[in-house]
Amino acid sequence: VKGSSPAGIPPVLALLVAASLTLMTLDRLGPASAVLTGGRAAARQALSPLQAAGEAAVRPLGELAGGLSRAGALRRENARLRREVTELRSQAARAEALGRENALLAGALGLVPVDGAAPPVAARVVSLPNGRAGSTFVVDRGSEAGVRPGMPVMASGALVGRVVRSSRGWAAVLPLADPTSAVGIRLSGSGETGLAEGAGRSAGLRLDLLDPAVAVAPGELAVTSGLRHGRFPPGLPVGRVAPASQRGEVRLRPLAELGRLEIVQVLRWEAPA
Amino acid sequence: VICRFGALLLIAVVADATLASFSASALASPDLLLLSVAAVAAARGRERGAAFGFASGLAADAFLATPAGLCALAFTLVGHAAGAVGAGRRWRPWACAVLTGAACLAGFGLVSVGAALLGAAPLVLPGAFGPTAGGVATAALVAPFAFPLVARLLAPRAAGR
Repeated sequence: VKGSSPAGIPPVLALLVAASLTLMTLDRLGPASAVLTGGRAAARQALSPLQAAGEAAVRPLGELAGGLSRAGALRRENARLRREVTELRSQAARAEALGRENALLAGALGLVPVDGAAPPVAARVVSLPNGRAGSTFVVDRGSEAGVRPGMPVMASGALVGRVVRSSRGWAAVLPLADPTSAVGIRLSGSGETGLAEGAGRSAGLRLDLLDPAVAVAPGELAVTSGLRHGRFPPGLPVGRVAPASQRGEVRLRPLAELGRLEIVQVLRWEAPA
Repeated sequence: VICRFGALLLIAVVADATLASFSASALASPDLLLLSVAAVAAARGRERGAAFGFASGLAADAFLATPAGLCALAFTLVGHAAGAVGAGRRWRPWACAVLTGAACLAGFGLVSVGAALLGAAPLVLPGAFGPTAGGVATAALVAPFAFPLVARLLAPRAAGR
């Protein structure tokens, strides 16, 4: 057939499929994978000014529509947040005192820091996820700083995701709220354990408790349980329980807001083999 | 011609990222990359559809946690198949929507299966179905408006002008 290869496949299609397969093969090889990850991060950084410009153009419309529909709710939320700030300041003061006491006691008992993990790496967010399932954000520290796939990423003292790729100077992080992400959690008040699955950038995390009959108090803090295949160390703050929806679905509101990330910390903790 | 294809790709990538960032759970955000692949394939045939699919797949790969080249492969196949269905036809609105819906489903399916086979982050977790179904449905709704625009943008210019 004219314009087809002997196998009947059009040459252009064969060429593009071969190029794709070559990329996939290179991605699975160590050194070439680092080059490709760097290339992907560079491409995203090149696109990020355009993405930021697009978001800046659309944001006023979105905020206007959202503001009109949520004016009353915003006033109530503002009052609630003021109460929370007062309470949190008091808790912070108590936590500081407890931290000092804990350090003194740990020193007296000769305890070593948890897991003996290396100090965390601070990194700047250079590109945000695009909102699609499976999309990542990029930070400007990579393998040269000891950042490796699987490491937890924190912001404002709370877990925001985990590294899925790293190369020299770059690392891609899968956000916790992504629909393809899941983390085992424990509620700090009741001690109930469950699974928090990403529900999208603005919808937070969907909470599935092992015991669905248990009553969950809104505002309760959820921390990592360390049970979900050991992907995260235990005790990292994840989010607070949001008021239950009309359908009875319980959600977690992440403590760190993904859209406002600038600086994050990569915990150089690796899951036990 | 390459400039026009490039401009279309850039618009699709930026608009897709912008809309997806603002929509709650990405439920209301159309999958503009696969929509544009279907529209290009419908307007200019399977070879250009496959080439545009490859380029837009590379752009999608840059944002996703999937292995590099996986979206490029899936979108190439989608572009070729969409072009083979009937390039150059006069597309009725419902046919644009059906072709786009099928292209989005095929693209998502191929990427999910590929990611699962390669042991990468699976896109087939239950939580991913809602946003993906929303992206497919809204892309199909937008398709009857997008197809004529893309066809006009990529129409061959008359010789001598």
